[in-house]
Amino acid sequence: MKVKVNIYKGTPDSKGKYVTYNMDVPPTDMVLDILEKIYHEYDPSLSYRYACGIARCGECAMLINDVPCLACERQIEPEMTIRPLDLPLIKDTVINRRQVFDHIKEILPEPGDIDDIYDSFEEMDEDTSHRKIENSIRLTTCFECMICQSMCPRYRSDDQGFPGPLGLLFLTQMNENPAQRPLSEKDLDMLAASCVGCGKCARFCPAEKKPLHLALELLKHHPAKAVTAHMVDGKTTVQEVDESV
Amino acid sequence: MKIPYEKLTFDIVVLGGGAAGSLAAIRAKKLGANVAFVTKESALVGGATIMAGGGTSLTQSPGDNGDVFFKDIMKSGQQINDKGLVHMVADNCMKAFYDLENCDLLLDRDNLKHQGSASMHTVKQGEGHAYPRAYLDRREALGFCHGLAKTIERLQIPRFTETIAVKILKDKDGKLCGLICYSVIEGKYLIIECKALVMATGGLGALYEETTNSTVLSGTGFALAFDAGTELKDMEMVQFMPLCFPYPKIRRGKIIGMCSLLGPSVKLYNGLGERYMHKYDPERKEFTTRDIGARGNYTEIKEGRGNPDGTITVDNRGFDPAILNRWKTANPFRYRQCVQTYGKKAGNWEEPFEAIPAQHFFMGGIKINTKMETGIPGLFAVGECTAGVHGANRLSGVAFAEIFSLGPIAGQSAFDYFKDAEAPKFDDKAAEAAVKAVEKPLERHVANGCRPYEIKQMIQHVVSMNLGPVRVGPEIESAIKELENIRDNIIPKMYVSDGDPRYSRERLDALEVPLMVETALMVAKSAAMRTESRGSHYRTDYPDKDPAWLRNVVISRGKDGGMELRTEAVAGEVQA
Ligand SMILES: Cc1cc2nc3c(=O)[nH]c(=O)nc-3n(C[C@H](O)[C@H](O)[C@H](O)COP(=O)(O)OP(=O)(O)OC[C@H]3O[C@@H](n4cnc5c(N)ncnc54)[C@H](O)[C@@H]3O)c2cc1C
Ligand code: SF4
Ligand code: SF4
Ligand code: FES
Repeated sequence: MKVKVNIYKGTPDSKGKYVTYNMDVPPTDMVLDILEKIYHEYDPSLSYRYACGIARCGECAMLINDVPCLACERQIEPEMTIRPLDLPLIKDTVINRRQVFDHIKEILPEPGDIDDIYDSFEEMDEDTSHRKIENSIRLTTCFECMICQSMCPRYRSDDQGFPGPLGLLFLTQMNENPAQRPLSEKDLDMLAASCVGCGKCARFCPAEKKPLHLALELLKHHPAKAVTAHMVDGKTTVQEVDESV
Repeated sequence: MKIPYEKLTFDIVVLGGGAAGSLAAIRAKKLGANVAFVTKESALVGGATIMAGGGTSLTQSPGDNGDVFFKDIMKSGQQINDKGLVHMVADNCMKAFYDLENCDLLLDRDNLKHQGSASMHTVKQGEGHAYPRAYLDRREALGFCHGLAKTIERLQIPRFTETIAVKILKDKDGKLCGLICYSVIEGKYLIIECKALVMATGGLGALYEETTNSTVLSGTGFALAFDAGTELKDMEMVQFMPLCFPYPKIRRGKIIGMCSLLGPSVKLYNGLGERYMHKYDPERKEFTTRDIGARGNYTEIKEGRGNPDGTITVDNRGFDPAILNRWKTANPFRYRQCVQTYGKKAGNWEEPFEAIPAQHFFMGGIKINTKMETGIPGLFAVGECTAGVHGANRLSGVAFAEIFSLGPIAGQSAFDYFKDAEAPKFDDKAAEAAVKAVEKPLERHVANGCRPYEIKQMIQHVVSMNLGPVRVGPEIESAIKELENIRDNIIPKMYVSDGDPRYSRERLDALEVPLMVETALMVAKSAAMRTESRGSHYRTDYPDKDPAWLRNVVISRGKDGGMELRTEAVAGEVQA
C-alpha cells in the first residue's frame, strides 16, 4: 500500500516543520510500524516513544490526522499527518510525560498508615461495598497515555492549580477506594474552579472501560454543590460523549 | 566529550520499574532510606509487569498450603529450582499479596468484608497446579501497576525515567559504590553514587525477534551484573508461549495465550491441514504445558509444515459462548487486537486464525540467596532478572507470586545492609573514565559502518534461529560463533549518525547493543553446556532428561573478564 506521511520534526527551542515521506508498506501495518521504518531507513534522528506494542503502557500516544490515538494500535491510512500530543514537547513526536506526572504529584497527599484498612470495610453496607469495588476497578484501568490531558481546554502545564483530567482521575481513584482519603475541601474547590465538565478529555480515551467517563459522572453527582453546579455548565454532557465514541 | 554528565548521590538505587523494583523501592523508602528509582521506560510502572495478564497463583483454596505449592513449583521446574527461594514464595505469597492493599490498591473482589478466596475472583485448576490457585483481575495487571505507581509518587521517591543503566561501579574493596546511567530524555549521563543497588531489570525477551515482552526488555541487566562480577545461573532456560500474533510487524510475537484459555473446543492445524499436537503430547494434545505446546507449534513451522506464511492455524469454531464471553471480559485488549488483526469473524472464533509461538519468560538470571544478595556487597537482585524460583520451567501465575513475595525482601535487605555499611570509597576519576569508555564508541565515525539497530536485528536473528524452543548442538555452537563475530568484528564498526543527543533512539540502541550481545552469549553458552533436555530447554541431539543433570549451569567472570562455566549441585536446603 502506498502511503504519504507528514511527520512533525522539532524541539521546543526550534521552529518545527513537517517532513514528508512517500513509501510502500504492507496494508496490515500500524502507525508505529511506519515510525520504525522512517527511523530505520530515512531518518536516524527521528524521536518516537513506545514500549509494549499492545496498548498497555500508554507511551505511544500521538495525534494522527488530528485524532489522538495509540500508534501501536492505529491502522495506517493512505495519507497521514503525525504530530505530538498538545503537551510540553521534548522532540518530534515525544512529549514531556515526566513534567505532567510531576505536576500531578503536587496534589497527591502522602500515603497514610492504612493498616486498619479492613476495619473500615467492616462498617460498610453491602451495596456501598459493591459499588466502591466496581467503581475502583473501572477507575484504575487507566494506563496514563495522557490523551485526556492533551485534550482538556482548561489544562495548562504552567498553571500549578489544576492538574488536568488525569489529576482529576487520580483524585477520584483515591476517593472511591475506601482505604484512601476522600476528596478534600481543597480538591473540591480546585475542581469547581477549573473543570467545566465538558467531557472533551474523555472522548478519545483508549482504555476499554473508559475510566474518565466514570470519574466525570461521579463528580457531577458529588454532594459538593459548587462542583456539581460548575460541571453541569459544561457544554457537552458526558452522556453525549459516551454515545459519540 | 560532547555529552554532559551529572553526579548524584543516594543511599539506595533501585534499577527497574516493574513490580519487583517498585516493591523494593517502597519498602526501602518506608524504612527511611533516601531511595532513587531508575527505569528504562516512561510508564510509572512498566516492564513485563504492565503487560501481564495479572494472573497470580496463591494458596487460597481449602486444603492448599505452602508445602503443596512448593511441590508443584519444583515439579514444574524439574527439580533444579533453588528450594530456599521456592519455599519463600510458596509460604509467603498470600501475605505478600494482601499486603499490596497497603499500596493504594483495591484488589478485585466481590465483597469488601471478607478477605480471602471467598471474595476473590478465582479460576479453576491451572495446568500443573494441584489446587485452583489463580487470582484474576478484571484490570489484568493494570490494577497492580496503578497502586504501586501512586504509592511511589506519593512517597516522593525520585524517579529517573527513560534512563538506562550502562555500568555498575565497585570501589577498590569490591563493594558496590554506584552506577552509570544515560538519560535518554535529557541526553546526558548520570553518575550515581550509592551504598546499595537493587537490580530488578526483568527478562530478556527483546533478544528474540518474536517475543511477548516489550521492547525495553532486551536483557541488558544480565550483562551489567556479569560485568560487575555476579554469578549467573540457568541462562539456558527460556520459556515460550504457544499462541501469539504473527502480524502486523509491531504486534508480531505479542501474546494471545494458551489453548486452555480458549476453551476445550480449540484445535491446532498445520499447513497440511493435519492436527499435530498428539505427536508431542498424546494424552493432553492441545492442552499440554506451555513448553511442549510451544515446541509443537515451533517444530511444525520449522520443519516446513506450517502455513505458507510460517504460521499454524487455530480453529475454535465449536466454542462455548460462555468461554468467549469470559475471554472478552478477562482479556479485553487481547480480544480487541484479535478482532483488529484477524477481522470480526475470526476475532470472535467463527473462523480459524493464524498464530506463532514466541519467547515469553526467562527462568535464568542473577544468582541470589534467600536475602536477595548477589555475593557483591551492596548489590541485590530480585524478580525476573534472577534465577532460582522457576528452575527449568515456570508455572502459570508464579511470576507474580514471586515478585510480590520477594520484591519487598530485596528492599529490606538493601536497607539492612545500607544502615550499617561504611561509605564506599567512590572514585570520581574512575567514574568519569567509565563514562568516557561508554561514550567513546558513540562518537566514532566509521566509513561503511553499521547502524546500531542493524546490529540489534542481527543479534535477534541469531538468537531466534538457534536458541528457540527446539535446539541442537551444531546450531547452538554456530550461535556462539556468530555472536562472537558480532562482538569482535561488527560492534567495532558501529556508529551513531544522530547528532542530537535529545531523545535519540539511535544512542539508546547503541548503548544496548554491546550488553545484548553479552547476554545472548551467556544464553548460548549455557545451552551448549546442558547436554540433556529439561523443561524449556529441549535439544533434539539429547532429547531425554538425564538424572546426572540434576544440576545448574553457573557462569562466572574469569580473571581475564571472560565467561567461565561450571555446573553446581541444586541450591538450597529445604527449610524446616
Ligand atoms: C504478556 C505477558 C503476560 C504475562 N502474564 C503473566 C501472568 O498472568 N502471571 C504471572 O505471574 N506472570 C505473567 N507474566 C510474567 C511477569 O509479568 C513478569 O515475569 C514480571 O512482571 C517481571 O517483573 P519484574 O519486576 O521482575 O520485571 P519487569 O516488570 O519486566 O521490569 C523490568 C524493569 O527493568 C527495567 N530495565 C531493564 N534493563 C534496564 C537497564 N539497563 N537500565 C534501567 N532499567 C532497566 C525495565 O525498563 C523495566 O522497568 C507475563 C509476562 C508477559 C510479557
Ligand atoms: S484516562 Fe484514558 S485517556 Fe486519560 S490517561 Fe487514562 S487511559 Fe489515557
Ligand atoms: S471535563 Fe472538560 S474541563 Fe473537565 S477535565 Fe475534562 S476536558 Fe478538562
Ligand atoms: S506501545 Fe505501549 S501503548 Fe502503544
